[in-house]
Amino acid sequence: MEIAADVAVIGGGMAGLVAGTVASQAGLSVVVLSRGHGATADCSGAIDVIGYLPLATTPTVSAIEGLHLLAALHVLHPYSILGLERESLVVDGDVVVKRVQETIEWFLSTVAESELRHVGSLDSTIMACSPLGTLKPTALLQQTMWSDSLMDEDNVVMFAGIRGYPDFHSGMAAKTFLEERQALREGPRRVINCTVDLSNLLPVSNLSAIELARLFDTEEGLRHLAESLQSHVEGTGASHVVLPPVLGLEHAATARSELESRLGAEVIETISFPPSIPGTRLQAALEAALERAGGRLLKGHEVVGTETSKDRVTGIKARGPRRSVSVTAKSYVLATGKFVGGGLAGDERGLRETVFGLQVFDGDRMSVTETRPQKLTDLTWVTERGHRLYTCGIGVDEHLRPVGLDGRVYAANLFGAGAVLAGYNYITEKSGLGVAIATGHAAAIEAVNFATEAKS
Amino acid sequence: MSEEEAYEFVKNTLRDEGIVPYHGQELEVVKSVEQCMNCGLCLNHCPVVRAVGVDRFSGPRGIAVELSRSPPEYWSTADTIYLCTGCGTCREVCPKNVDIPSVVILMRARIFKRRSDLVPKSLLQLSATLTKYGLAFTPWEDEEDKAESRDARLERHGLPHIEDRIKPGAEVLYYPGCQAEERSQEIREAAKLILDYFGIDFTLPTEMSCCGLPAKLIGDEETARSLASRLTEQVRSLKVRAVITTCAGCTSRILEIAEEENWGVPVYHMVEFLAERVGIDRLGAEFSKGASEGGITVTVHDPCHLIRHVSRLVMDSALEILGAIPDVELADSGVADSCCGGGGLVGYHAADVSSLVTARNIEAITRRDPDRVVAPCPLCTSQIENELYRHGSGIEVDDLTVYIAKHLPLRR
Repeated sequence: MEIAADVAVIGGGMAGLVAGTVASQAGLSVVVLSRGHGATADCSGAIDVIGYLPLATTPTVSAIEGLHLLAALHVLHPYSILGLERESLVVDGDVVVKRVQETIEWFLSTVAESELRHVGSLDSTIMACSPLGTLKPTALLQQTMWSDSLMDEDNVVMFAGIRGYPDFHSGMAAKTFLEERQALREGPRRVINCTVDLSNLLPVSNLSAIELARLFDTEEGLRHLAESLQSHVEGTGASHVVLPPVLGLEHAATARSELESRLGAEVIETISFPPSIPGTRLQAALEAALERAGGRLLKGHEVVGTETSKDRVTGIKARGPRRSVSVTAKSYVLATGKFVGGGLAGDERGLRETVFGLQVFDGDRMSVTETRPQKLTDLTWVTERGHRLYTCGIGVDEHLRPVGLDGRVYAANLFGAGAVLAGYNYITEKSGLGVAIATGHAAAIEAVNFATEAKS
Repeated sequence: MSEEEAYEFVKNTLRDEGIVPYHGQELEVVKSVEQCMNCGLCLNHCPVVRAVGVDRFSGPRGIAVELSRSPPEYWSTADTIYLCTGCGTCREVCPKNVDIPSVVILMRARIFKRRSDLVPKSLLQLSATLTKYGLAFTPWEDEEDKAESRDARLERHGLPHIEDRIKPGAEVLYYPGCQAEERSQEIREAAKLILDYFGIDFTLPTEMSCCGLPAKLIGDEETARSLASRLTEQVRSLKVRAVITTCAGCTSRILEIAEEENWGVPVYHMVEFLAERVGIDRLGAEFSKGASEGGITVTVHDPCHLIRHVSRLVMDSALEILGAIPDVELADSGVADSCCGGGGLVGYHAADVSSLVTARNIEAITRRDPDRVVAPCPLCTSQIENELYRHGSGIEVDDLTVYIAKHLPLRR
């Protein structure tokens, strides 16, 4: 079997689907090859842009501030590469901020068309509440996860768990949340918890997030949730109700406002652990955006071979369960992710890039192709420095083209995007999806330009 | 006790407990489970979890975790492992593509071998039928009754009958599969008509035997192996150069056998063969000479055994062929690729679970309200047809092969 397209994208997570959608919107024919879901589908529901600068212990005031500082200090960070001037090797911070800002705006309006709305901006870092009751800095949150007034002093914040659902312990979350507020002497002074009982609709044990989400997608399920919460809210005078992130897959925002009007209190979801309902919402919204733009998503196919001739990638071979397909395109985007997505693999011989066998670097552009992954981890599990392993990936030039040890471009029509790139530690920086959106968008523009030139 | 004796002693003790080493392909499956990160993404997509929740069906992640236990504990999970429809959705969304459908087959095989008392009774009966007749159904006692049923079906679909053709040395073997051989005979007839119409040099099997997919799903490896060799023998003795089926399950199983037995002969589903060999233009030209139904809306169902066990690209051919039929407007249900509930033999012993899985399809189809539903698989067709009927819907359901034949200008 054969597929011909203008742009072929390898990888169906955030970076790949953004790249595929942008290229489709530019009027080119696009195929996105997806081997399976990855980190995007299991994300928390927050879109981090830059929460901490490398080695910093306090969050950035805003993503814009963070991007400017990165541009000044870290030339090889994927964000910085978006503003890199080749001749002078100087990064123009204003260009970086402008490009990231534009792509984030594009992202927000694109997923909003898929009925998934976010709050937040690059102008100020916001704090998201986790299912453990801790806070983490981020730039954007799914709309259902944010309340402007959550931190007001006079609030009564009630964490509400669901009987039989083991992934959210409302008592523990409330305790952690309150202790942190007391230590910092800020935020609500009354934090309480409750557990609601939905045993007339669901089993009393062993519930999964997906069952709750599907239940709250129905009118009946949502009504029962509201009724069960009602007495707790009335009895305590709760001003805010914090729920696990299970308010439905299809219309969480409507479900939330319905709950709020029934309860007379503000309702928010926390961000999510895996398996993630918010991640499933995001994945579906991105896939729908690609489809609307006219791009094709080919699921269940893994790229197992590549062909190059001179300085071009000329074709790739993908394998489904029992059929193979040859894909030829004018340009290619590599958006295969890191360890969860499978773009990088490591064993006792070292780290390798799994599709093209590209050179793998660490964050400082040192080769790690012969370094055992264990050597790239720190003895201390959690530090602000993080593990070097997570900074590893492919190195790219200012056009996002993968380069070798000598700095030479691997192929003129291959562009890298997302977690497969080296130079940033998404875990310590809180920057994962932001980098994926920005580089996915930028790689698409490069791929479109190349394919358009090749056409004419 | 010498070291050698001690080794034998331990090995025998383990064997008594049912702990025996994995071999060959089993090891591949076990290795795939080692990749499971416990992320649980699969739970959000599993159609059985959607239908009955994780308390009744622990879901793909539960299965992956159970496999990491020792084999005797398979026995305690038998009630769960038979509820998997084998649709392959989990394997497709899994970041590591953990091969859960094969894990399920492996576990069922161990249970079948060691603790057949835990196998649902209806599956043991099916296994007995497969062993006795080499077919998934008890064959018709009277050939004349079979012919009568066939003629009634042909009449209902307005299709003519042509003689069976058995011709060693023909280019292609048309393999009907059990459902089209014994039950939905109109599909077998339609396939013959189509191949004949386009002048394809084809033959039927000299002796019809099951592809063995049901035997595999029961865990009856021995019967599966014996059926695979019977089919291999047919293909070799008929000296055909390609095999065509009209059933999604048969397509995926025969592709597997062809690979294991080194047939060196390509295996196609009918829609792939037609798109590639006859071509969409020619099909369109012939359809335009056929009878038109007037403008009608058609909803397509994608069989799991084609899209997730062969390749999603197979449905390209099906959609292209449908698009070439004049006055057919495709009506997307939005859940075309959701398991019909008919897989994994779940319907044999847990009909309620099977129906609850189909419910999603039924709800979306009735909401979309097309004139007709088509699926390139006799099993999906019959599952959806039965469930639509049960819900009092008047929407017609056709196997795609039958639907194609109906649109050709056949002499009736």
